[in-house]
Amino acid sequence: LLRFLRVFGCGPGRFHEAGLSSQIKIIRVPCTGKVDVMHLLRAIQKGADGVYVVGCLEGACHYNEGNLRARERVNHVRMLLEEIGMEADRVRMYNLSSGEGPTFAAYAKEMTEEYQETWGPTLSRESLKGKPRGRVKHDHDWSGEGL
Amino acid sequence: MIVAKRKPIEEIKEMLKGYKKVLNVGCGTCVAVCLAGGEKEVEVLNAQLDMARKLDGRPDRTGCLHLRATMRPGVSGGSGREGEKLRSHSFHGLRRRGSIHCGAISDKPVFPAVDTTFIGVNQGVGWYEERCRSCSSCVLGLTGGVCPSPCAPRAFSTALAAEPTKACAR
Repeated sequence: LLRFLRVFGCGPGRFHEAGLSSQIKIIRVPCTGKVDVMHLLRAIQKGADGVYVVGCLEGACHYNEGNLRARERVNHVRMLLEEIGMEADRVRMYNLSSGEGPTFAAYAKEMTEEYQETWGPTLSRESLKGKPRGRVKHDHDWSGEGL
Repeated sequence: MIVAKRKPIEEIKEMLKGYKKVLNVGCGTCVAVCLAGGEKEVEVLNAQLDMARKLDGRPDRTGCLHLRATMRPGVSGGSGREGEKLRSHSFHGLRRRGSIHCGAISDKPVFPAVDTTFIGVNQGVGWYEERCRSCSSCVLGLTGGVCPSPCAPRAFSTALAAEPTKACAR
């Protein structure tokens, strides 16, 4: 079974009306230009089976080029996943207008079907036990000192 | 400024084979500017290594740390505190370290995760120019600031000696 499909989307679109299953988690951001490489990688690292970013139609970004930057970052993450032998298609970028709820749901269905037919789980359940270790926390903050 | 590029993930994995705990260390100076080993790059490498090891069925521990200045005391204003920060992380149980940049003070094995490509200057976003080859025999005082080494090491130096009035040397 699909564990989670993470979606980063911008704008107050009517995506909630699309009738998505509970396995699909939507993370709203002010603009897809805000979505960082680490956001996408961390989602996969924490066990999401697929991630897709939904931005405005090209040329319609409120911040001019946020969705174009997001696409470049998505392509970079796809390359990073391929490097370690993971399917690049687990991370995708789509462009939709805010009224295209059914298309949004269709993309989710498409990824779910592809997951079930081709990919399988990202990482085994056993390997996901325990907290993924990211940046090491330290007790002392020496930020800026020594420069 | 040192310009570097990250090593292929396969090479990094090969170096770290046999180690169960790895700390990726980035530097906030040269390699951060060329987007090879700064704060974000160590986090990306850390996530990649973490996932790659899990895919290989090795749930080892990895962590990353970003240092903002040189770790050597007395160099470039570095107080050595960054070095202390690095040493203090043995308390976190991360005993083997893969370093994403060159040079470090540590009693643990340190592996480079980037290849230094050249010493240059940053002229713009993603635009680097080679200005020094570390030849240890600088003649910039004679050449008016134009280094004869990067473009044509031998030919140009020889031509400079033979024809001091040559246009490119003026």
